[in-house]
Amino acid sequence: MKRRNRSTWLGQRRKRLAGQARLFPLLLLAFFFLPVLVVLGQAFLRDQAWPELLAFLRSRQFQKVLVFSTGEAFWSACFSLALALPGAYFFGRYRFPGKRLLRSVLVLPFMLPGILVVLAMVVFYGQNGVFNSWLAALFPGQNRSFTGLYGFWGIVLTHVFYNFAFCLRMLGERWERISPQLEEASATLGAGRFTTWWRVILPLLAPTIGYLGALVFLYSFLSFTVVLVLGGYLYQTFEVLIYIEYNHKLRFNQASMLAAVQMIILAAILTFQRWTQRLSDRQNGTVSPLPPWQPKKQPVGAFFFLIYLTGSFFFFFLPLLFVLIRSFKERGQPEGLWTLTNYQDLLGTGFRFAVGSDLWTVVGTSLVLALTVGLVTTILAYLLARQRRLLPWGKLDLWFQLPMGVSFLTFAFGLLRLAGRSLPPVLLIIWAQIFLAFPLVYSLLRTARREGGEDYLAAAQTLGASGWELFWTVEFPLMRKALASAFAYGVALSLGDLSAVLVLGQGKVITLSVAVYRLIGHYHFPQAVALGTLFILLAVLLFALVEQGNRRFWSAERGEGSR
Amino acid sequence: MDGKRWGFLVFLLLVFFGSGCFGRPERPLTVYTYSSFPPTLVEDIVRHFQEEYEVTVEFKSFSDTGPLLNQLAQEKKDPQADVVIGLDNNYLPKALALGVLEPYKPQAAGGIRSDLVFDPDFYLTPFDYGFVVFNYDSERLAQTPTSHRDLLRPEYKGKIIIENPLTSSPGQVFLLTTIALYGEEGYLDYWRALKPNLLTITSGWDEAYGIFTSGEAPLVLSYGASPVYHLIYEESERYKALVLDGGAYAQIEGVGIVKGTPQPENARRLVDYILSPEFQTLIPETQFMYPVRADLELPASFRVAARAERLFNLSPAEVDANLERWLSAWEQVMNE
Repeated sequence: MKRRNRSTWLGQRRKRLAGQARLFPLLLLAFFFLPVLVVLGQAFLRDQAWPELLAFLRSRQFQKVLVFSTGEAFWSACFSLALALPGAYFFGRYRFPGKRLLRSVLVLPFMLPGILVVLAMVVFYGQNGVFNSWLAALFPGQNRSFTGLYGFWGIVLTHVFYNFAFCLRMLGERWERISPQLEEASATLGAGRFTTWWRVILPLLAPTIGYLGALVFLYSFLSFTVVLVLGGYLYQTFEVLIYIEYNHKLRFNQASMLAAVQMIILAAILTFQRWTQRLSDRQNGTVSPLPPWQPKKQPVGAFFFLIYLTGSFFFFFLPLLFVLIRSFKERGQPEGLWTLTNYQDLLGTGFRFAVGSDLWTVVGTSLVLALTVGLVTTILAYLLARQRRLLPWGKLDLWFQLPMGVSFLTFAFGLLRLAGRSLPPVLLIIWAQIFLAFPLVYSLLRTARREGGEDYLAAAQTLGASGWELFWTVEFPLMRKALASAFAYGVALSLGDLSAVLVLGQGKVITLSVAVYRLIGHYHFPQAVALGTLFILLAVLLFALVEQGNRRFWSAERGEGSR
Repeated sequence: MDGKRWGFLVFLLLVFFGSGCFGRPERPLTVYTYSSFPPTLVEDIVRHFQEEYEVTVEFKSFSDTGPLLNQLAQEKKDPQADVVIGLDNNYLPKALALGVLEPYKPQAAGGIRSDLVFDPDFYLTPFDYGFVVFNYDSERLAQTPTSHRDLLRPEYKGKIIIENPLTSSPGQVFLLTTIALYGEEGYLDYWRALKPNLLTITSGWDEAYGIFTSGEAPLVLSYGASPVYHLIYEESERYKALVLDGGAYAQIEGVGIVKGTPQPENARRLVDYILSPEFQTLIPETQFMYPVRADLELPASFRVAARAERLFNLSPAEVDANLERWLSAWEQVMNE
């Protein structure tokens, strides 16, 4: 009798759990998509909506934009991945000095203000750029120069600059989770190194490669500033069209219609990606300590690694370095004298005058905002990932990726309609930034949670661990790396965001990116670059702390060194 | 978590969507403007109204003029703002069509330079203006052009940076300049010839000017007062403004009162204050624009600013009636 009671109680509890399991994602989806629905509803519940849509889909402009965006995004994704793969190998297979710092640095491009990236590219790869001056010095009199920055390939180059570091980090982290024992087993069975890579490792990496490819594709497809600045008048993405309709033609219905078209295209791409992901099934890797990298024992590998490092240093760090150097020059001129005045100016009245707030308030606001967004997004995403850990990547997961494909202007516009009056600007910004960061953070945690340690958890549960104890002693240590990464990307996306703060902040919330933007608006270019430099240092410090804290925790818990 | 807690969450959600519907305490005098409106001017207005009338003024800023106008249109039935600062001459017809403004002829209207009054009914009152002109780098440009036709010469190939008329207001003003100069029949040919000389067309002023000061090209479309900044902050006269064909197109910024404001008296006071000599003298070295009052002396730094006696400006009504057509024709030509 007693036993039966217990089983019905369990049944009820399970039912209730299932109910909550549905409620939580639905609530989250409502938060994300209500603002979008408000706008789309307005756009499509009109007489002329459908004929207008058909006319647009038949127009030459539509075809042109589609062909250009698809091509540009495709090549950006291909090159980013191809460049990241060799580096990911070293990241995934070896320990080497400076690895953790490098890991922090790799998050940077995500949060750089767009204008800094554009300036970096121009200063380095431009007509009168550093690269061309080197070419002239190397081949005197031969008139060799690189003129490709302003055009299709310049756009691809800049997108690769944006995305390759992030691909490298994510692929490296995935590679770390592939057990080296697999390779050993394959070698024992007589397979060569290439065969092992092709038949064993690549299939394991494929889902991540597919996901990253789709991500870079989406980011490039939605690109705005880069396309406008380097593409001149020749190229437009849908986001550019939407912006023009919203901001200059003030035709909101048309803008929303375009946004809907864009969403449908991107949803199709995500569906395709999900389909490819299904082709390769889940693979479980046990995490084992990585061997240190020993250049003397692997001379060929060392040689290639050095070449690779130099190449990516050239491609990724030098442009950034050259633009940052300007902040240490008088008047920001390359030929000027070295100086710190641009930094001193940040503390002066000129800063307040241009920005409307002092430096410390700005730094504080940015940090509080970014940490809040990072934390809330990570917690929400983790709860969801945990709930869905036993399920394969499904339709619902796809819905949570869709915010990436939603035109941000559309979302912000809807959000203002929905809650612009009842919520203070800060909360609106947090809401919007969570929306921006959620897809990436969620997919990171979803993959990690699904692949990692269900067996350990089950074992621990059998041994009697439960609740918080189970979480802190088993689950958290297993997830710590993924959580740290997810948190770092959440923070980075918030720090780097300009549009949400500008559109929703009503001028009351001033973050670092807004300050950079306002300094430039007041002609303070060298100071803006100086602030950008501080911004980068602050972020690296923050991410290094996250990694460090992480490592400490791990060592204390397990009494062993990090890998 | 159990059902009760979820219920509570849903309740919270309802509360905060609903809270907008209930009564609010009386709001301060609210001003809408764009986000790059100088903080110094904001502070001055706030201080003045606090000291003079014990009125609290609150500023809300928008990323751009478009969204600002849209917000006004959304709130037409229940206005949340009293005054709007920064709608320029090219936005007047749109604002009139939306019916979001109330006319007010300020006491100092007579003191405004007469060719700047773009709205005879004073729905928008001009308060500052600037010229959209080319700037050049005197260390990198041997020969300076003197007319817009000169810009077409092969020696300027790949040396000019402009902003996109579709996304940027100086860009749009330059398109209008070419129409004012060469008419509807001629402007497209001008652009066809200009095309090879353009290094790039950027989305906004920030990028264009940043690329210009990086030394990438010696000519950029900017403002007539841009050199003033370099003089004040860098003591440099390296960058100079060009007045081509003896004139320039002016971007005239206006201030207006929002229709249906519950505080018309304070709103009028604000418009009057913005036209007062006290406020107008602040404008040159904060906004880097010219004040509209003809009776004021300019600061010494403005000797390097472009000064155009002749305005190329088309009438706002003409611009509004044709702009969309002009833009799409422009787009087509640039894509040829």
